[in-house]
Amino acid sequence: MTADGLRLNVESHGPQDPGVPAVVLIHGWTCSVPFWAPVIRGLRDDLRVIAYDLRGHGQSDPARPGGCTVEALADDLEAVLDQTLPRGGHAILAGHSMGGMSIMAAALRDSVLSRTDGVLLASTGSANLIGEALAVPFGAFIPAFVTLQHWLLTSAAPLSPFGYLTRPLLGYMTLGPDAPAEVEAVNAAIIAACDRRARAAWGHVLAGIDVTDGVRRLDVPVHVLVGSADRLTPPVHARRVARLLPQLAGLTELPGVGHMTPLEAPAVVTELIRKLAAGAGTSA
Amino acid sequence: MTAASGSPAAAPSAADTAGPLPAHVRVAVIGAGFSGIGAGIRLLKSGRTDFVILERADAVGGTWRDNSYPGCTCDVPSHLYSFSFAPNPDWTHSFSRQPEIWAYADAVTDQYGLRPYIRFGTELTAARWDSGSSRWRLRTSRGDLTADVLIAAAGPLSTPSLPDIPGLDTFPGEVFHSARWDHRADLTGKRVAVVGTGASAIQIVPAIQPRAGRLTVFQRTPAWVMPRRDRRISDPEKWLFRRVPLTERMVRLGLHASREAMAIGFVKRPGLLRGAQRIALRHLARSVPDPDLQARLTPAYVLGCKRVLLSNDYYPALTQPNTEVVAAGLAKVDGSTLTAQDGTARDADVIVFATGFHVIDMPVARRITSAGAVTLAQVWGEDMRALRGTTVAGFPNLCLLIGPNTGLGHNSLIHIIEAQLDYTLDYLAALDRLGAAALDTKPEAEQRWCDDVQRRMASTVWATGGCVSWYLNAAGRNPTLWPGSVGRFRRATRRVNLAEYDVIPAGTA
Repeated sequence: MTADGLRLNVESHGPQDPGVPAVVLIHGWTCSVPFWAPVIRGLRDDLRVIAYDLRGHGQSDPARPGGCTVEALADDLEAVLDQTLPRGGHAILAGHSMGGMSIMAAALRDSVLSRTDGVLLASTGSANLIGEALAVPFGAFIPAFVTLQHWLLTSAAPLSPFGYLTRPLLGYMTLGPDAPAEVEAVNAAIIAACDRRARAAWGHVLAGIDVTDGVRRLDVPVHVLVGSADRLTPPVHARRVARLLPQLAGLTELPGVGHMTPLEAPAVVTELIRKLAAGAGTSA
Repeated sequence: MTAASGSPAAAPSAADTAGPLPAHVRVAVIGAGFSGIGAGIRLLKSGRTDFVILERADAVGGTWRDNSYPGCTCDVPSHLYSFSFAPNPDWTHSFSRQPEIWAYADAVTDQYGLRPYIRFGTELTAARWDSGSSRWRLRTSRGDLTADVLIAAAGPLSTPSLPDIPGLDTFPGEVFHSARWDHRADLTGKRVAVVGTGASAIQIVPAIQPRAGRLTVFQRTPAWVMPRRDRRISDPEKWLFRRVPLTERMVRLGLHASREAMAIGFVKRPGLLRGAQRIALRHLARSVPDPDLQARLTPAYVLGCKRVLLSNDYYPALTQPNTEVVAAGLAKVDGSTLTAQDGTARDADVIVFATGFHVIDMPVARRITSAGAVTLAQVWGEDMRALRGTTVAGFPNLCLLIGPNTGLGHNSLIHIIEAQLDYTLDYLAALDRLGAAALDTKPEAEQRWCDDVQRRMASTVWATGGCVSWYLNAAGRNPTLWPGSVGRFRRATRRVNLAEYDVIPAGTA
């Protein structure tokens, strides 16, 4: 249940013992909890894994008109921490794309920051997303293409009837060149399942998002991960975020991997989260 | 650190992360110089975090931290002497000064968040391969740990080489090596003796000549000195490099190509170096009018046989009235009297040894022991050797950075480091892929590689140029330099060829 009374779908995996370190997974735009499936499988044996659907995504309630805002992203993360962690409990937060932006936005709130032991920011950025995306070839350099990227981001055009057309296009925009066909299929299915009005509403939020202040406040160990072939949040974003972070725990740039790092390189994502959890364990 | 005071590198952050040592890591890296931090960053970039870097000092930078002597400058152009993955649009000169290079190493470390992985003040004292558990057992000054893979990034220019001069202990004044510069020693008005005329000495001499009362340079062999085309990088250029990174990449490519073209002179056709030799002779004649001094400074061997030096102010400094070149090495010291090998004597207040480093014996090799309880130094004897400059038979899961026959006379060593890192990362990927515990170099593969290197060494200027250099060992073999282009080395180290290794499966005890 969120601040404004919506119901979010929250899943909890692995041991439920309060002594076990907790990890909260926050998916990105147009995705949902199943997006994290390979990562959850890699973590649930010895970590408590919590994953939720952002409002308007997956099985969470759709947002009310005007309910899609950066503040709402932070509200929802705060609500999930309130209702899943034991009193005084801490967690590692791992956010992909817009999920990472949720963490950066929520870092301005002490109630979130004080319960965070470490953060993984995967394939995300803090500002100027359209201006630097490469979803359209040379999209960052030619003004008309910037406009096209804006349209792609905010359009409510349906995807599903044109699956044969959109699937390779989605693959081009979101995945690395060597992503296997299964990954491409899963990726397309997850994105196609997203409600197109929610997609457009959140696309508008992303178009103008700036959570840079939160990056500077995020004073916990943060590992930044990006694929070198990411067209939506290319490595310039990761490098900029890494530069601004007070406690960079490492910057990983996976060669040939696209935007969907948790789907394309789940083993790396799992290892980075484990490392953050282990670090939190020793310093506590 | 007084050398760096007032410069941007005044305070590369020191030992603020002397965190606890892990009990076991996938990869342990020895040294946080350019090759060590390069290794750390490449590990991080590939998503590996189970590693640690052991650094005996309290800051990164290795050779570029230790060499703070006055005038210390890199003799490879700045835009070439930087990592390909971390271009620096802000280099202020075409040849960077030491503080700037040190600051770069420090900045790159933070850019990738590498600092938490470095254990400063932690010196490796012994590393032994345990064939039972297929792990390296490491002993350090701050405790023990184990590692699956050991990357030795201790650097070729890390341990100063000091000649054994009889009577040196009777010298009453200050004595120090160029790489351990004593910044408290005030040279103003003092009689200073500089021993050596290599790459460090030719930078030190002009830097201290105006201050010194008398400056005596002991020269065993004169060096070939070429004019240095150094200039300030203008602000518009820096702006362009920052805004359009491709332009810096093009400059780098151009520098690289022009340097690569010189490889053929060094390696195949030393005759081609005669043109460069004429430039150097004209440089000498223009700077040193005195025919007697000119004769003493004229080398008798082919240019390139020893490292080619770049300087515009070395020769002019030698012509100053307070400076003298003794065309002989330092033979003995008696109190403050220094006697040269030609029998002549001078008095001095301070001795600076610009005598280089232990290059051909790789001191870290004495601390690395195989399962059979012999050290790498013992296996090598006087003659270090490795497969593709990186791995050694009998020492599984050990990768040497800037290992045997990887040095360069013509190009940036950073290229070599990056090529060896490609190889090392592929080595790790091969271990993962095979689920193997270790890879051990086949002796015959190592032999074949070394034979091939020596075959190509035969025609190089280092073998034929008629000089004795720090590149050569007692046997007269050259175990330090790569007899070829950077491109050839890159091709040879792109991937691990599993046919050259014995695979040690996991779980064998």
